[in-house]
Amino acid sequence: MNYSTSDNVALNALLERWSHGDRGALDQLLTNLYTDIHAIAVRQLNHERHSSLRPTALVHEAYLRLAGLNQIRLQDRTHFLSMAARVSRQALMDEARRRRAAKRDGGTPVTLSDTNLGEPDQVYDALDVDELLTELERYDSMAAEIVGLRVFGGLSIEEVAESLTVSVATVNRRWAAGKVWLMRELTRQ
Amino acid sequence: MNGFDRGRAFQLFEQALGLGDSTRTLFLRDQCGDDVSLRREVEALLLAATADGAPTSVLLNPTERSIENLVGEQFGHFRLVEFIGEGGMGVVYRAERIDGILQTVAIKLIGNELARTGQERFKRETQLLARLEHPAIARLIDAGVEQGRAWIALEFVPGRPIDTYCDDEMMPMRSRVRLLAELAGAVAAAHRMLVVHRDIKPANVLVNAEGSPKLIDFGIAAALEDATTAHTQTADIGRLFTPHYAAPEQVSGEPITVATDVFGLGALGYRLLTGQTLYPEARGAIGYLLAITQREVDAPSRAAQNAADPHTAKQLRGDLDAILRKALERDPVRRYSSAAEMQADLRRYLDDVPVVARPPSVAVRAGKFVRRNFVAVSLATVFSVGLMAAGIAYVLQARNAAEAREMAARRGEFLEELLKSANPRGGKHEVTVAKLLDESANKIGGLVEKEPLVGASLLGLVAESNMGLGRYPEGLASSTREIEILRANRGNALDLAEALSIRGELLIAGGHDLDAQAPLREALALVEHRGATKQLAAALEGLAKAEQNLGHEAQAELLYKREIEVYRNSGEDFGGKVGFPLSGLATLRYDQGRYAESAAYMEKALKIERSKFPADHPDLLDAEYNYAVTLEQSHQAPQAEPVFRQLLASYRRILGRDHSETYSAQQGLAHDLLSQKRYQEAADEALPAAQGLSRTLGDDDSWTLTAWGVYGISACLAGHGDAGLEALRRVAVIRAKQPIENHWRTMVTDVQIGTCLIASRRFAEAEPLLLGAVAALERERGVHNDHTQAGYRALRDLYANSGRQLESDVWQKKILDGG
Repeated sequence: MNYSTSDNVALNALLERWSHGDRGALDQLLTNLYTDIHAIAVRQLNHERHSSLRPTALVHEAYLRLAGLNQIRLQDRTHFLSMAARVSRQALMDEARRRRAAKRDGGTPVTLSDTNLGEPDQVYDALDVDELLTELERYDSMAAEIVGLRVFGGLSIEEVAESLTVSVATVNRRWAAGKVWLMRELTRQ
Repeated sequence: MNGFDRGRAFQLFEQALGLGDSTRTLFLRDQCGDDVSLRREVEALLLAATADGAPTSVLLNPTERSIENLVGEQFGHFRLVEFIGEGGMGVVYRAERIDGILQTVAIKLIGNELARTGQERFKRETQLLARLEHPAIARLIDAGVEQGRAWIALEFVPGRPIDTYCDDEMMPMRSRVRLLAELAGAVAAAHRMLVVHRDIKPANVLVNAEGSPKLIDFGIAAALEDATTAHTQTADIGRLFTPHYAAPEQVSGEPITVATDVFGLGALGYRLLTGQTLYPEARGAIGYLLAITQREVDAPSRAAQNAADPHTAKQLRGDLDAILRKALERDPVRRYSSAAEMQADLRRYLDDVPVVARPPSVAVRAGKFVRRNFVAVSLATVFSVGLMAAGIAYVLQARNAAEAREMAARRGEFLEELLKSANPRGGKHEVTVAKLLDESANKIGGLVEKEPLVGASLLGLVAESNMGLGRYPEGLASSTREIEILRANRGNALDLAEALSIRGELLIAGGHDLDAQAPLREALALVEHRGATKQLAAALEGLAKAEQNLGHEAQAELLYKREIEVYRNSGEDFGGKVGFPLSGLATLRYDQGRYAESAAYMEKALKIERSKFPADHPDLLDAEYNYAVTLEQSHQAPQAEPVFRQLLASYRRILGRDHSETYSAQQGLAHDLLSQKRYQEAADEALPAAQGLSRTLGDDDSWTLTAWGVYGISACLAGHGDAGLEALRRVAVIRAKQPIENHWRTMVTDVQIGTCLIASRRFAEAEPLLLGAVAALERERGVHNDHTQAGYRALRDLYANSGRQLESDVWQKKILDGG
């Protein structure tokens, strides 16, 4: 997917409106982001004969497309990444569910790798991760949020702290707890 | 498939992660009880977390290492020449370059081995520090890691620690202030390079023969802490701190900022100017911990007075008192917002120009914003100071004099013992409170064998200290043991009741209001008919708080009232304590929207608090402000007026006329006059307030905008439509640029502009503006909101005045109090 010049102008206008507090513009931006990330994900899954997604790479690619190709000044990288992490989770899960329902690839589950959770090569079932994060949200919503930002946005501890406006110490503690719990649940079977 | 509550397992795991090994066991026993599968799950998670990269802080576990003689050894380009001394982090040697260049440096060797990631971090940090150049900062010349051991070469400063220097030379007051100002300038320069010292104390300021001060060890504490914790996953980072010079946030684990150094400068100044330390009566680490978490610092002049130095006291009274107190505020955001500001104030003192002390800072403004909207919130914190005082009294007093002496003596001995064993080499002043408390909890075990009741009382102290630090699970663990011991040894019922009440407080503080009720009820049953005022009141107060948090307003009310009754009937002097339950009742009433009753309780509580605090205590002034606002809100604007005027006079006296807080109080008065429909007077007060706020806080500050809003509407209603409209339109323009969360405020301004237009009989312009604003306010703030209601009133008036009575009636029906 390519951005035309008019897309470019439109995007710039959206960012401009958003920076002035236009909520509608933010919705539009997020929709665009969703489409973008979803497209990258599908492309990866189809073309690379690969059922494993690297969410962090997806988000970074989306960021670079916006910031680089379009020469848009995204002043707030952290803000963008945290937004993108949420949108990305949504997009990837939608795709994973669609594939499961369509039984494409003989029902091969979509997996995630390079997740910040353990070894970079370790893969986890995307839908399991999503379901467990939803469960964790009930126990400690901040821990779940932190894990989500780390796994789906690739944010560093410091960036998470900045994004949630909490201390690095808090992020560290909850990330440690959330990660250990999630890994244990993922490897329980 | 699982026999346990997964959510609870996760939460316990998360809490236990922050605990030491031994405390963990107790904590788990306490929390899991008989639930074996729950406990097993939590333990498995903990095991997984440990395997994942054991979260240990190297700083906290100094490896046993006797002081080796390293003279002659080589580090980088330097050879160690002479052992100079030993600091908190390691040993210091004088060293010389080996490559023929004449240069003497001080080399600091860090006592612990750093992990590989830590080493890299350490190198990066020290590279940054090497760029720090200032005549009053000892330069970092080189740094490196040799065999896993970090070393730092610093500019060698031949000199004496600043406190010794000042005392030896019998320096006069002004010269001491000049030294302090110079140091503040050096710290400010470092801050501009984003380096925080965080261990400012006399031992780290050396004065050379020419009388110039130099700060040593700049940023090194931070570099080391970062380096040693670079790889840990959990962040239960016990920090090093120096008693009497550490800021409260260093002890409690809050973020360290430039304000930490401002506190350090304040503490250093306190020592230099008064000859006293901040908490002269604190003994041992626990005593110090209690002081720093619970006690206000004595005014410098008072400290000098207490030390029988009336001459110094006289010099300190006024400006220097104000400067040091501002630097030593417990809340970092209320301190000088930078070292540069503090330096400027010290300079003003030296130049005999009035000092600013308490200039506007972000937090003061934020605090005010809160108190304007959520009176009860800040009221609760104001009066919790009284509660804290009660906590100290508990620690310092005992039931009778003989017992007190006995227990205090044992306690002192025991604490000293603990302190020594926490520092194998002795003589060092750095300890981490969190670690010390955890160790105390363990060590008390040995004492319990011989002296169970003394052990229990110490455990109570540990529990309470942990509560002061916000470490509730640790506090609970100690509290559990204390209660066990008291039960097993048939301890005094009053002691048991007290322990149970503290347990209740800990549970409430940790958000477990339901669980808190059982121990509090037991405490209540134990003391109910014993005439033990303090214990009975404590149990009632805890229960009241729990019920209030649970939303059981009626029960909370009964309990607060009983508490007041207990104090009243005691015949002892508990008068000061009644403030807390009274303000609790005020909060209840406020939450119920019964503002008049809330104000009445506040008035009573204030009467008591006024006798406990000096009249110009900032918390007390905040409380007065809350009272005035609540009165105004309860349609008693005329009664609020004298309170506002009094406040304004206080602020003018304390802070001067040209100060944002003074202008904010004036804005409050203007608002009150507006409520009384005294439009011209309101406009006359609002205009200087708004202009002053624009100047001191900036045009886009929310207080400035509120003040211009009050001015605009008052001016319009007083018949100056054009001036009023112009002010309101300016507000609208600024509001429109603000973040989306504040969108509704633009609508508030639109309602004001609409009201203004009506006053000028410009109905056609007012109508669409008001309809749009009211629709948005209904959507975003709800129909009961004060601003929405103001919009309804404006629309009602609009239609009534333009002869459209039917439409006017429609809006009239939506107005809640018919007013």
